[in-house]
Amino acid sequence: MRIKAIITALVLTGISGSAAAENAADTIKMIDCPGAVTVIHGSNGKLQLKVKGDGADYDFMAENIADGHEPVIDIDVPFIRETSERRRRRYGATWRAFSVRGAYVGASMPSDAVRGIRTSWEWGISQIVGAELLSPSRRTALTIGVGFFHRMQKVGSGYHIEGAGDGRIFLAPDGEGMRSVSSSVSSFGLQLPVMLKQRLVGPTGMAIGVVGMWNTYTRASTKWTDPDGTSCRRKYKGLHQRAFSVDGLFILNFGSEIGWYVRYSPFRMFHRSTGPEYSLWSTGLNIGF
Amino acid sequence: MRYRLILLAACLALACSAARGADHSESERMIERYSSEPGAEVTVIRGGDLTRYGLSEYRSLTLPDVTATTLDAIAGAVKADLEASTAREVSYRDGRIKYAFLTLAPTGEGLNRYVIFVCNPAHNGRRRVVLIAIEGKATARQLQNLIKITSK
Repeated sequence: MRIKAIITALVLTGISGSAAAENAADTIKMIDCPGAVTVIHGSNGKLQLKVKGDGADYDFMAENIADGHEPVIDIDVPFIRETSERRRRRYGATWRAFSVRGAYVGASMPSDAVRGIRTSWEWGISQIVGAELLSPSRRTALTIGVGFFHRMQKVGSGYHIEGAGDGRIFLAPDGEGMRSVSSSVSSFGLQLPVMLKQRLVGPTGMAIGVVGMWNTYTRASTKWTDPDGTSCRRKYKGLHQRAFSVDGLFILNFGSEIGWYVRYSPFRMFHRSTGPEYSLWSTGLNIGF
Repeated sequence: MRYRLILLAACLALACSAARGADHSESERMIERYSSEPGAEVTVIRGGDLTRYGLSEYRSLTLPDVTATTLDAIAGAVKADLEASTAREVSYRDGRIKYAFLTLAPTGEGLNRYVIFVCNPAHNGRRRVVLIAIEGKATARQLQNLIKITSK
């Protein structure tokens, strides 16, 4: 309690005692062995102090002036703090379902120097439905969802897809006289991204994670024109593509909608014996975060 | 015969209840009584992590905006506990108890009992009251080292 005490001390009758020189500067009067001390509670918070002793009577008046500030007593109980922190940790994080996030379209480039595999494109929705575990701050989330993808890998630069029978394909140089050759490997499937999402500033944020890819359907086709002008087309189905693979995915979203993504697919789509071996980098536009 | 058994059971239940009540301090009764006041925050912890601190039970009541009548009733209970306490640390302001740390007589099981009372100013001229009742084997010194009480 901080109360400023202002002693106005009116010495009304014969101050005969001598104040000792060694007393503190704010000492008004030292009385040894007082005979009687009477404290009278006066009006307006004033106190009157009557002292008898030292061969003389003294009458002091003191005034307590509160500065208006009452201290606040704070109690910190550690186990209560621990309990509430645990509760916050336990109950602060929440699950939330969502739909249609991460619609993307971008370019896919082979990361291996495979002749004939060209930069192509891909599109999909990485999370058609999903759920996220939000941190208490709501700035960090772990998301899991299900979506689909479609990749069209073009083949060119003097090469095209040829069938080797029994669902196997390979890259073959264009034959003499083949004109307007267009060849590609197209794959479609489901994806299961597991992402750690972090909001940075406002709705802007980033996400990093892995995407399980289930390559449900893959086909290849080659179209060309013969020297006599005949248009030919061959389709190869029932291919031996890798059924399951894992991609790495990074998304940087500017605002809550538009963003940029980079995806790395280290698993090659085909084994050497069943098709062209290539892995992909892809990057493009991401919508919905 | 059946009615006698029922009567005996009722008397036993009453006696047990009275015996339990005898161990309760006035402050603990206030915690129970005002636990349903508007804005009241009651925390009751028994066992579990408390045992790490040598405590067996912790009850607290926080009334963020207490009326004068309620404050008088709680302060009266604290005063009654203060008179019955075996050790005390009390500070007053304007003739009212502002802070009290009371050590009460141990329970029948030999557990130490403590009461902490704090009356702080609230925003609208009213008072914010915190009343805590603690039981355990911890000594008053251990408890004072555990619970940080600061004035600012």
